Amino acid sequence: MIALGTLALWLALMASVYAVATSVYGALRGRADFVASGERGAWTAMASIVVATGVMLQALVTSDFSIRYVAGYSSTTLPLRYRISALWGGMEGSLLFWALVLVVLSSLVLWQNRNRNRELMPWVTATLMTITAFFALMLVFLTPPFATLPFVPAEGTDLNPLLQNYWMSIHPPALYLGYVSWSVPFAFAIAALASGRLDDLWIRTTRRWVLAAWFFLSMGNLLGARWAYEVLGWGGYWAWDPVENAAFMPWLTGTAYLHSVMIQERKDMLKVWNMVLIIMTFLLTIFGTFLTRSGVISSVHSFTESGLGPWFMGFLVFCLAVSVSLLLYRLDRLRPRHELDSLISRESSFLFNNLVLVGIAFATLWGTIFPVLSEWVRGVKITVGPPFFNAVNAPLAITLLFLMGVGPAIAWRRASLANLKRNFLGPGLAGLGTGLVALLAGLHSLSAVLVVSLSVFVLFTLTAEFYHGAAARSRVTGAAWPSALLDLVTRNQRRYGGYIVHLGIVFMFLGVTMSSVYRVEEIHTVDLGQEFQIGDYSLKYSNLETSSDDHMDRLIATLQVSRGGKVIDELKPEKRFYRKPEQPATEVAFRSTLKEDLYVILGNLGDNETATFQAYVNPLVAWLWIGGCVLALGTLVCVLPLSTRREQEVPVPTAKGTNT
Amino acid sequence: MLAATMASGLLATATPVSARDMSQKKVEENLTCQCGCGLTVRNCNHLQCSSALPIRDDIKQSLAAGESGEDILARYADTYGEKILSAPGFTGFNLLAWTMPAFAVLLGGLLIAGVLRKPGRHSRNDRDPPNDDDASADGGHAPTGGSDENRRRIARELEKLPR
Repeated sequence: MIALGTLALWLALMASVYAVATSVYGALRGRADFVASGERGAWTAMASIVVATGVMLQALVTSDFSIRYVAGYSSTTLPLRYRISALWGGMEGSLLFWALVLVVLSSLVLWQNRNRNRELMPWVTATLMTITAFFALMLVFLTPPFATLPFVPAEGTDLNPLLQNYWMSIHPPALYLGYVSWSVPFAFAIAALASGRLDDLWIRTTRRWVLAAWFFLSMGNLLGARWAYEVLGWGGYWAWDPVENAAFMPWLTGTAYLHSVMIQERKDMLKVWNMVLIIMTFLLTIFGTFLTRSGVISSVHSFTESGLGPWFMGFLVFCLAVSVSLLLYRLDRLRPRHELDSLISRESSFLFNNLVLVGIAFATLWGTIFPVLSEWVRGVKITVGPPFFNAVNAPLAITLLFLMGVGPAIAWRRASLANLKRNFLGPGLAGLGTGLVALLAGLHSLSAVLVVSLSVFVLFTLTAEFYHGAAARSRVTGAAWPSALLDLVTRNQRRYGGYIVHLGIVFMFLGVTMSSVYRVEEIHTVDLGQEFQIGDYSLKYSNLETSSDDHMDRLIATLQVSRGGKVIDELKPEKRFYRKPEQPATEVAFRSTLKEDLYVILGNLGDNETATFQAYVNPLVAWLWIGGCVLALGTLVCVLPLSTRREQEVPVPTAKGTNT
Repeated sequence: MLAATMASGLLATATPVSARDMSQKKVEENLTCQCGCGLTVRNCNHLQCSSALPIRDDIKQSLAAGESGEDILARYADTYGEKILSAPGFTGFNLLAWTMPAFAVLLGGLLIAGVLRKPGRHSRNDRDPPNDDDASADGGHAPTGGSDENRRRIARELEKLPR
């Protein structure tokens, strides 16, 4: 089986290189037979990667420790679901998984376009297979997943305990789907440039792909944050770690692209900018992979440092060079048909939205690579951590929240004073009023007051959009309100699905701001039976028990939670001691409500069962996750075929009375 | 309005806790734990961490003894090097860390302003074509019944009809 896996990877490499060569030749020479052969090469490469992945999965499930990767990331005592997720737990397996996701998506693209977009498809195939060839090259020569050990150990080293939880089953796949999906619109963009087919065909073709990529990257980021919150045990969910930043940056530029592409579709503007955005987004996904594997920047998420860094950097430079060359070659034909008319217009608000999003992406990138730059220029190691990112990105994020309220309601081309007054006076007053109430209520943090005020402003503009739309629909069709509202949404999915996404973002803003600014923290060392206070809660340390299995030993503390003298809950934070590898870990316990989370970590244990507890009260943090769910719902509204309208051919009577 | 929002956001980074708590918390947030977790001293999640726990104790005792937060940070930077600080300083080469993002956003803003100052060019059909997926914000929200693509398709089909 090892030989089969290795052979499959070699075949994937050769077939993908063949596919690139024949597709490009076929496109340049107008040879449909070469193009078809290139697609067959692509299918061969895809099947080979699937076979290689199947071999690895089989080896992991059956604990074939003759393979170094299996011995390093699995064990016979590891539950089956973690043996499967060990596929993406280490360097070699994660690259194989990346390749698998890429070929599955590529096969979908080829199948979807088997009878259409024939002018673009040779270049799309060539681009996707170039990326596939690069990963196959890594897997064949640099990080072979089927490398064997000189002896077969009786047992494996096991998966890192921090990765042994259900988040491991969903966070990396979602993130990889998000990363890799951006290859598809990138491939179509390159195809548009290479073929000269520069109308909006490639944008319309990739509309759902872009939404899907954005959705999965959003979920990947959110699931990672939730994992950090539930498992890592520091009471937070985002640490501006370089690898977190690497997943955040393409999300930011992808979000900018999602917005500005609407301008191109409606107004035939920003063509060059949209090309730049999609190229930037794809390159940032490769950059993120480079960061986790090069060892250039240290991170808790990093794989073992390897020699892959220069190769990834080389591939990045290659993709940048080809993309920029093609863009410059076609620059003349990408000139807009229209220009911007006014600073106060929807087009301008979208431009400013892009400025802010790309600004945050740049600031994040700059902060992430600055330590490398500092060491290179001055020879001095420095750290760029949360104080930098929070200080630089917070004002930009607050500005973005403001634009979220303006963009949907402002007029195209040039907003009149009447339009501004009609659409923004009410929401503006509501926002200001809320800000005043917040100040009077004791919210003295300027950032919190701003976020709350702007959130209300955005909520009012969104509500007005739904209200006016449903009212107009009801007037025109005579339908009742609920029916009119449903009809409005299903007939304008992108618009109103987008508004639902904005609503989700508002909830996330509130959750992040309040839980960051108003978090309460207490550390107490107590004897068994003693109580301590945090916020409105009283926690009584009532029990300490131990438990053991093949995998780990556990110390479980029981805390009775009371409020107002009444017992409302019980929390059981743990300390765990894993056997393989020998590693301690903490398991947090938390109680979540819409108002706040009570979050407890079991710290040191002293003599006579004395225990130290670190407790947090995180206000409104649940709204971060609720906002994520609303964001997901909004994206589904945009993407799913909800409309019942269908195109139907009908005979058209001619002047002579016959039908055509 | 946009500039005002951005400017007010710039002012909005202070954490509203008591003066004493702010010093302890702020100092811990401005130091990076040296155990390899990548988190600040405040947030290090390692049990019995040999770096964060002693540093937290030292900060508490130093503040109680009257040492200022800034002096504590400077002392740790002298002992461990700049890498222990969670953010670059505001002097020398490190100033570039803070100024480049602002410069980039400003440059972008100027580019947008430059684009907006160009005289407008419009196609012969000056009206915004309504879209079945989006009604004009000025014109109300009544559905218009056809997308650009559908209109083009209709026009093509009509051209095929014998006159």
